[in-house]
Amino acid sequence: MSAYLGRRVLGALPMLLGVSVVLFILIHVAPGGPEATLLGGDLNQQDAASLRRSLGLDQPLPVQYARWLGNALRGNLGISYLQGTPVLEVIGEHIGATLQLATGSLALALLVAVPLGIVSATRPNTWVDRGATSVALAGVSFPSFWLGILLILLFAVTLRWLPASGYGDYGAAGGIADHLRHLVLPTLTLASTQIASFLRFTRSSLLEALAQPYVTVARAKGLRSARVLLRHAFRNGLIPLITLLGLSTRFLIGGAVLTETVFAWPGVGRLAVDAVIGRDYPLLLGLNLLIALAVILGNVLTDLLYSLADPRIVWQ
Amino acid sequence: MSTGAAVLRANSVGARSPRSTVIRMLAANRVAVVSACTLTLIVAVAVAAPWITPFQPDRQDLDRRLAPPDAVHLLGTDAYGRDMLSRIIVGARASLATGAIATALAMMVGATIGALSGYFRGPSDLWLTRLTELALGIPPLLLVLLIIALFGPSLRNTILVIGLVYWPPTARIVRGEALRVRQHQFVEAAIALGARARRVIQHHLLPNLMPTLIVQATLFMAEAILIESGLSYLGFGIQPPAPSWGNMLVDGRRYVDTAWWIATFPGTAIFLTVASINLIGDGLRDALDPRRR
Repeated sequence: MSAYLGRRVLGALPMLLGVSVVLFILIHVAPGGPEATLLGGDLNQQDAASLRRSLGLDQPLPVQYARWLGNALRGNLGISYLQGTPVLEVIGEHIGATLQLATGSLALALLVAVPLGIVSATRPNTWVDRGATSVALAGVSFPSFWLGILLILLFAVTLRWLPASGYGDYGAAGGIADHLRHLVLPTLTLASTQIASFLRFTRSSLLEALAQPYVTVARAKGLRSARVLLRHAFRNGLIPLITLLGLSTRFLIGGAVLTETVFAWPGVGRLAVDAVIGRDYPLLLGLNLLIALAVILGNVLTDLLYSLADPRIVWQ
Repeated sequence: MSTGAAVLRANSVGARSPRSTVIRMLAANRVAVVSACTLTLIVAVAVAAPWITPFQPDRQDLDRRLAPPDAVHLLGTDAYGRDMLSRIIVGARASLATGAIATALAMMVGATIGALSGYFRGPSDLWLTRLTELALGIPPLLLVLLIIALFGPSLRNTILVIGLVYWPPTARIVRGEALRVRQHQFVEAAIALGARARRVIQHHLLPNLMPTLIVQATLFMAEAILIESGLSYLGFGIQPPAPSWGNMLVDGRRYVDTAWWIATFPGTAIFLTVASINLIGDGLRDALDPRRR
């Protein structure tokens, strides 16, 4: 097992390198640069040139990349152009907000979608199933940020139950409760697409598993139907769901960009948009490195979950 | 037309032609039929947009800013007093154009790369696998944002970038299908008869991949429209004052306290369009899947 994990981590290195090379080239072949944002509207040629020199942007591309990589390997991702502080510090300040949002919505999606999917698959073509399938279809048919706006319209503007945006004051008295109230609507928004796709997958893979001969055998042995459902069918139907779960890292990050924008949530998604707009190269590269790492971590976790769900899958 | 003929030839095992079976199954699927009608209506509205908008979509009427829906402005007005209905009608064009062209692009690139690597295997296959892994390491939305930020937002760039960033899933699916189809005896027979790779791919592989591709294309078209709306919402897509459903929602969020209609109607347009396409896709999948007949 540990040998397997070691190999997975080593195997991920070329991908991390590849991602950084692609981004580096992309960033640097594009017209324009960070001067416009950093120097404001009235930039003259001389200032721009000296700024580029001081940022090392006048060097040949391979030299720039080698320098960036050398520093990155020593844990130094450079200074953010926009914030003027180390990239790792900037990311550190924002990652907590995104992690709360991501874990919260993932948990919510699983709690809603899996039971609903099980009920739906065991009673196909009943009103429960039809309702669940419609919800799932709706969930993949509107942009999640629109749901966010509608939730604000309903719960913040009309009912005045929850705040429309922001992070809440963590430190103040009753700060935790206030913060949690701010967390509700963004979590729901981010979870919506996930609920829909988890529900569809749980339903279809369970339906497929229930049609297998071993389920008939288990039933013929006289096992209670709950036991057949959970121990026999669901366990085998779990594999596709785990695959989907592994892919969700990427969707959560994409969704976080939009959700954080709608709710003015101070996470890395919004940070990434600002880095893109401001051409904050070090921050952009740092963020993408972090995201690639998260994706790899997600993949490894997926593999481990596979063998938990199905003992026949052994990693060595 | 040779491709269509090849579909018939390659598949004609049963008594009925598969095409008529598919059409019959689709026609029997009431949900799919209703969705197809809805989508046709939306497309017709988009095509006829310049002639049917009640107002000029960018005509400002500052005396009637943020006016709620009434008999004159059926869906109300926005922050500049522009007619919402007219802007939604014109906005359909951006969404549908993105959906259609970006999907065509993603399918062509993905199917070509997938078919080639599935057919030839070897080094090109290895490259595809590596490339797909690489593409999986960068969340596509971020890549799209990055490219658009670097090369400038416009409808053309939006379409190009969505088409060129989202091909790997198609390539993967087509590759898997190509590997499977390649095992069949009719492919072996064609090769034994001296058919060149190009001919085998064009006449034997692609026609058999068509059902998969059609379903994949429909479902991706729905996604492409959602992606475009997200990009426009973030300010990376269609640039105001040109209307798109996504960029209208920016004002929907900004004026959510006072103008519910701006937050509601453009999103409803997205939802109706995307849901119709998804339902047609589901119907096609059921109709094209031999196991469900």
